[in-house]
Amino acid sequence: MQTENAIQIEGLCKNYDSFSLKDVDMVLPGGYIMGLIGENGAGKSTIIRLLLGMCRPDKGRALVLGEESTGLSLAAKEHIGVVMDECCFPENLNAKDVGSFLRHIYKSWDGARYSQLLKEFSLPGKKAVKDFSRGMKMKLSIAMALSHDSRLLILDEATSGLDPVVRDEILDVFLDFVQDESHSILISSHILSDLEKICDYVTFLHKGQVLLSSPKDQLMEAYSVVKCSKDQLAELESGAVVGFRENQFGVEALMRREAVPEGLTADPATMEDIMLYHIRGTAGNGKGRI
Amino acid sequence: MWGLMLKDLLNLKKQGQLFLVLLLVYGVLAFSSNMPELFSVFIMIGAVIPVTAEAFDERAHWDRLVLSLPVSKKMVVGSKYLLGAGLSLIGMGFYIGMGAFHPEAAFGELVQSAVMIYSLSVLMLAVLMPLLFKFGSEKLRLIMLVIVLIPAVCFAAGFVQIPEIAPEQVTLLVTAAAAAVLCLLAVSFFVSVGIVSRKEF
Repeated sequence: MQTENAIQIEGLCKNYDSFSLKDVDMVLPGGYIMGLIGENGAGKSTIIRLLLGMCRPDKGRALVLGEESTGLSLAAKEHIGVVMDECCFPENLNAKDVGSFLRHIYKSWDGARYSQLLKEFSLPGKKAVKDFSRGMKMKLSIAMALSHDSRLLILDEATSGLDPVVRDEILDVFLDFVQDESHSILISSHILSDLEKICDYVTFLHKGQVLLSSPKDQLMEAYSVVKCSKDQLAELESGAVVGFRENQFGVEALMRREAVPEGLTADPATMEDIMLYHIRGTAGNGKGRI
Repeated sequence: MWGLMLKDLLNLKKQGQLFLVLLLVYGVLAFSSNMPELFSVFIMIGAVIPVTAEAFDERAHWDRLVLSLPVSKKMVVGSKYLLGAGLSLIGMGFYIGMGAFHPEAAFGELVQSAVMIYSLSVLMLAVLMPLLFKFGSEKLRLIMLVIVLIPAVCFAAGFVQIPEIAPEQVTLLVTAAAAAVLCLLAVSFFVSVGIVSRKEF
């Protein structure tokens, strides 16, 4: 049985005074995790706001769990769990209060699961949110997102500013979430090591446009970082080199793996390499300098 | 909608304790100074509470999260109206209850004045809420100074006098005022929904 796409974006455009999102196409198949990667101001949060219907696109469309994002039904929202980069609960509420009012909002609210998550995350029930650390606030938001019948988690920089131990803990929670094949995650971040760990698909955004969108493994197998001299760089196949940087030993260049000539040292490219060379370089020999 | 109202009530519980102290002070003043009309603060305060609640929401950027919940913009708006009108109604109950013990108050007149003051409170709510959703709580505080404080001061200082009304006309007037204000509240609600529907977050 084919699972519907959790998210489907076609030609999405949104214009602001100083920024524009242009022709974004993206598909997150059901049951997978997609990393939405880009530098600050690339448009990640704009895409998320468009997906949740918080603003209207100027062109194009987005479908979330099969429904148009501009008119998401309350029934659809029951199945969407959202974690923002900041804890958006009014400051005097405590974790117990959050559970108290959310059970009157979500029909599928699972109070027992919420209490269990508070315990697992070691979150005090009666301490005001304003007195929580950043990590605690994130955990509270995640506990909320996982305590109703979420089929899609949308996480906007949810791990930014967290220490490595807490981040690792939270990533394990997300991996556990997608063990159910009907569950999907869209996670936006600029912490590429996190995304490399858990994502099945990645979409690179730069200045409001999609640079790349593909399965992560396919992407990482497609590129290599080669080390060579400037003369060797000039001889490489035109169009195969995404970008390069010079150092005291020679040149490092990101290029398509199948075009790497024999004899050159080639290392597997990390997501950070792929992102940096794509963003800060353009294709072609002698161009795309970092 | 009850979930959203509960969120505001839980968030304001500390302020609620201060309000109770304030109400106690007013209650004592009302009894000791022979001015049962001071009980009216119980009713009027309800109209201001949604503004305080919204201020907390703005500070937390609650709007970034609330629309991802299974609630509509109409429900978000409606919860603030119900919060204000509901708390004012509870205040009206206190007004009548406390006033019934005051030696100066006649029960019939007490109920009529309670309805009149409730209508004023709802009128204030009807005027303030669209402005709140349009301009936010910070700017609204300045606007409120003009809308609420100046007429209140004029009335309290005697610059504005309520004309004598024949006793047989009071009931009709109170009923008409209450009906008019409720209609105005409905119009205000739809204006607020329109404002919020057009907003982008």
